[in-house]
Amino acid sequence: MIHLLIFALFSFAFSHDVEHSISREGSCVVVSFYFPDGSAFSYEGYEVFYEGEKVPFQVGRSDALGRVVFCPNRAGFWLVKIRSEDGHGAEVRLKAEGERLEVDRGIVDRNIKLLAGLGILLGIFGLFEIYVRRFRR
Amino acid sequence: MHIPDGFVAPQVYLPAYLLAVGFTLLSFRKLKEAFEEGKVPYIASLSAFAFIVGSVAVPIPGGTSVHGLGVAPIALLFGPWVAYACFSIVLLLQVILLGEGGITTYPINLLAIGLVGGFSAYWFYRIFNRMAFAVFLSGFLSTLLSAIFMSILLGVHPYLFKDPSGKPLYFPYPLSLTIPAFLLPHLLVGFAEGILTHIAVKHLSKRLRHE
Repeated sequence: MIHLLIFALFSFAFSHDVEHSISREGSCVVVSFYFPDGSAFSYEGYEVFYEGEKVPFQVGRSDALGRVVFCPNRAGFWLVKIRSEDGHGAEVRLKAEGERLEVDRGIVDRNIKLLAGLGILLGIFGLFEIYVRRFRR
Repeated sequence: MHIPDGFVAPQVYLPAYLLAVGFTLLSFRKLKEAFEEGKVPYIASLSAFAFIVGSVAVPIPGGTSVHGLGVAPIALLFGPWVAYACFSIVLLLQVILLGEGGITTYPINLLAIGLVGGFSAYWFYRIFNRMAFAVFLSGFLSTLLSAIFMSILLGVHPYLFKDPSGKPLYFPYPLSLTIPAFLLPHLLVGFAEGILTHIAVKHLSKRLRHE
């Protein structure tokens, strides 16, 4: 069990999902996709949609640094979908309005969420034990 | 192996939801029957371990990352239904808190890891239990089987769901790409999973006998 706990503690340094950062270059938007260890999500297929439309505004593959660059032609919400053959991927929704850029993003750090998840998980088992014990008495 | 939203067609994930919810209700009934006070800390700790292992990204050559499952130790020590019940909670928390996997693809991930992974680990152990490395093999092979299940499920999408022009509506890559893309990295994951399963089962099975 000690081995497992040590492994679990070290594993906090990692995470699994594809992460992203967004910046603005003139009238264009740059979305950079990367794994939590910092390695780029390179050469993966992506699609950019204006919200509500079924035909993509732009398609292509991310560059060597995992970047997707597109230049919105109107204000509103945009959706960037990127995915790889092995099932990794992400969807980023952002609002472009002139020079302004608003992004849907979480405010809680991932490691805090991981700890919260562990707490909730152990709490669920505690409650389940109380529930089962009630009926066995 | 956590498939995000948008990869799977509603024609697939809606029936999968029905199936997964049915299995979840059944698994909680089995969990309630198997629940003994002394075992609770072990089941809870292994579920917590699976929660962490499922969030560990190990970068591998080829520009991708993989993670372990943690389902085999629970299936071998407490049975496949208990493993399925634990994973219904673990995967739900991973979706809600960490955004790993999607809400629509939750049942797909649950069936791949909880059902295919858990039950195959259990049955592989039953088949190989006379061999020295039966525990390692069950961890290794159950990981590969989960990966194959997921690669086939995603790989059939471009054949089944496309618009009139032939463009895939959901996951765009065919079986010829998904099977090697899933299987090759999961050979490594399976090896690590086999070792972890061996360590966990070896340490805990002795203690559980004394509980």
